[in-house]
Amino acid sequence: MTPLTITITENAAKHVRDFTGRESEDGVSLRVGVKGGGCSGLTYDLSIDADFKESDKVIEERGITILIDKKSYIFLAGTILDYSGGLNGKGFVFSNPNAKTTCGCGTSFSV
Amino acid sequence: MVNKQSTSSTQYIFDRSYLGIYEITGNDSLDLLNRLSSNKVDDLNINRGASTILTNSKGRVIDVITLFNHDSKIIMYTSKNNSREVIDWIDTYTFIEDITVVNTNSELDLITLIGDNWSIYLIQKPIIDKFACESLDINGTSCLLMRTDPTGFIGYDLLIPANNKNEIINFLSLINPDVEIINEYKYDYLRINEGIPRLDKEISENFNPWEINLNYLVNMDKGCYIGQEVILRLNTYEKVQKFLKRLSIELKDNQNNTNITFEDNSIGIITSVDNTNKIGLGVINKKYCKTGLTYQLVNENSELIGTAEILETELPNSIA
Repeated sequence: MTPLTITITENAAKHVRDFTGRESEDGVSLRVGVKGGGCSGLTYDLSIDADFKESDKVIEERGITILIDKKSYIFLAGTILDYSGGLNGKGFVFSNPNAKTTCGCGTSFSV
Repeated sequence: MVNKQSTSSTQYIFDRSYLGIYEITGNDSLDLLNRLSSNKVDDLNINRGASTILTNSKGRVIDVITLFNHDSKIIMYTSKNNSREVIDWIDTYTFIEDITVVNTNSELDLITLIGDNWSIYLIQKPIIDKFACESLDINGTSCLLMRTDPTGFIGYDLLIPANNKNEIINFLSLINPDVEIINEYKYDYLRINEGIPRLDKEISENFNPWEINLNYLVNMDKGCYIGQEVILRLNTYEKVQKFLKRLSIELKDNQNNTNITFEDNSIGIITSVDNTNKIGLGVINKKYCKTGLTYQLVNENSELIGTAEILETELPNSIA
């Protein structure tokens, strides 16, 4: 059964903090969402966003506040957000159990 | 690609209010439509328009929509039969975007004006650019003139308030001495004769953009949209297997589902036939896309009902 949460790995959390320039573990809000488009129909969307909306699903994990809009959450429940570094790394990587197909570049999926 | 431009000294009026007419507002409107369709529309300037193809993840055509950026909103029209499908498609892929889509068919009508002289009569200009639009006043009624060339000839869509339609058509008939108000058959004849695909005929999920001469609406550099990977791969690896052709035909009886055969091989289908049964459009296997071949036309019971030959003319870049 797909867990009804979104998990962020320590490596990804570290890079979110690096990206915001904050070394402390508190006060970093990451909005995780889905956008229409991409070859397969849906693409992942990440942004640093402290603007909490009442309808958002909020998950606290590794010092990061993850905000997800209601509609995106349907497509993202169970997703693990990781970070692939190095010269050949892909950056933030989504492991989404709801994705039936993923396009060649890995950023677009369909359910 | 060279776009053939036909001219017409006769001026035609055709009521295309059957198209789905929408007004789209919101800061993310063009960005979202750009992510869902094949042409680059996120940078559409004010008073400019574009047609763009909504494709599914298999690269098949859902519909071709036409957009105009005017008066702080986007005017969109779709084929009427596909309106619900288009709106559902946009809605499915709307998450947190700031976009509102409102159907305006009860308030607005669309009159198509075909012929070279309409811009002189209406806005005192010899011509306006394709996909440009201009506001104008007709007898005290605010209207919008948009050049789209829907039959291959120079042509405009005039967006008018629905309750002024008859009055405006009467006015247009009087200011222009060579005007003819045409019906569905004549409109279809004009566009088939020019080789223009039409919504619900050639433009359908049976085909990808390359197969029905919509190449000019596929932007190769814009980045991802739904179906892009399939569409570009078909082109890159030359995997497109069939093409839209204008045909000279001899047909006893125009029937649905007419197949094109050659030496007992099924090589394509007829997609449109004009009301004289002399000119048609068909999508034909590329191996057989040659002038000088005479094809057989057969109905769904495999009975011979006519013959066809390709008229090797370059097809214009328009949709009807």
